[in-house]
Amino acid sequence: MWNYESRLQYPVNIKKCDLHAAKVIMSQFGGPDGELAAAMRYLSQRYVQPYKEVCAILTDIGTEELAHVEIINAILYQSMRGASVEDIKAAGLDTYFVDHTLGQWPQSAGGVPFTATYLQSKGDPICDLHEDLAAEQKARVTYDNILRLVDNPDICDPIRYLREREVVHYQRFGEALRITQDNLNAKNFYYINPAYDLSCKRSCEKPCTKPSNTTCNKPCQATMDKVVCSKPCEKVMDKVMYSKPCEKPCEKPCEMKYERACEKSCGMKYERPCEKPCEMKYERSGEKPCEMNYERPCEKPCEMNYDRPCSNPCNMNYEKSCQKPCNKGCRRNCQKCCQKCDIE
Amino acid sequence: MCEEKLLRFIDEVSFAVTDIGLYLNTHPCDKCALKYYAKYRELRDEAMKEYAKNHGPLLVDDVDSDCYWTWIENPWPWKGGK
Repeated sequence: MWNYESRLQYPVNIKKCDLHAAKVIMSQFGGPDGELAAAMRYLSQRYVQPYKEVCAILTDIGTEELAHVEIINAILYQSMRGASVEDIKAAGLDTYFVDHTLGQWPQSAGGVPFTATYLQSKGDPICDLHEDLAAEQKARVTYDNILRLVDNPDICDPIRYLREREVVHYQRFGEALRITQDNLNAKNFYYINPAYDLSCKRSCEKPCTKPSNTTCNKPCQATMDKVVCSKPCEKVMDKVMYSKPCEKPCEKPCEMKYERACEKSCGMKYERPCEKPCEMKYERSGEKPCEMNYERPCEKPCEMNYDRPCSNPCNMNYEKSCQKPCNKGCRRNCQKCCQKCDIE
Repeated sequence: MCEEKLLRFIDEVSFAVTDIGLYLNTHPCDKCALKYYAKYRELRDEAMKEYAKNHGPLLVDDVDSDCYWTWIENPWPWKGGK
């Protein structure tokens, strides 16, 4: 179930009509690597995911992508608002105008209508998560290209925000992939498709009749169930009988190498020691505090290449010609900025 | 109220809130409808609070633990069996 919050995730206030910008930014609404495809991709993929962390990531990032669709449309609306027919013709937007006037319609910058072929939902967690990682990178490059093409600071500011979110989502999807692989056979991640084989009717459904403290020697009827559960399990029989991890809450702390036991006792209703890895990552690394002013404490070094919020020196390689910092306080990328400084 | 009954109750009062909200979009001065909205919104708020306290959060805003992110612990609604 979804509810709408009557606010943008990041503010958009464009003072001047900018049809050339709108023409290319349109692609991030209905284009091949746009926000609409992203939202549909993640919200479609989440259903068959067997691991709760991955369900949460796909639900929450898919939801955030819907908010990004709204930001893109706010940019399009505000940058096309009030355009004259002469301006529309001059910007080459007459072919859009004839069908949609200044309404929002999902298409790529090249005029190709939005299509579900931009996304895949394969029903295999490893495959889907790799698609998601690639999608975030493709969207990041599109935003980089928009920033090369557009020099209106009112537009570049929210575009930089959206670009940074692609980088953060890429990081979270990488972690989701790691969590998925940690649940699979470490010697062969592809031995089963956990989204299909663990719920497949062919799975061994008969409960083991042997006492739980003995190893069940009966071979399982279903071939795919011979996979040994890679998670430590209390119940010996489950290791043999089921590829499924035991669903009973484990009583002993988890032994998986990357996990740290939480020092505090868990406040959850189960009243048992917390077996989960401690999720509070912000307190762990963070040798380099992030300098981005709108972010929560961040564990990563700042990755923003652009000059605005980051006080690190810009290291984009095409700026090598620039010897002096820009003193105009302008928000555009450095290359253009420097050109402008030199001219003036 | 047991978990399932409480969840069905939340479904019902939430639907009342959603539906009267649509009506109010086109009848913003209808005092009777505004009263109806206020009544069901209050019921919904209370039920959501009670659910979060006893069975885990339905909204991410309802996560209330300093040791574990209970958002991922709730059974995802599309998994069925509830």
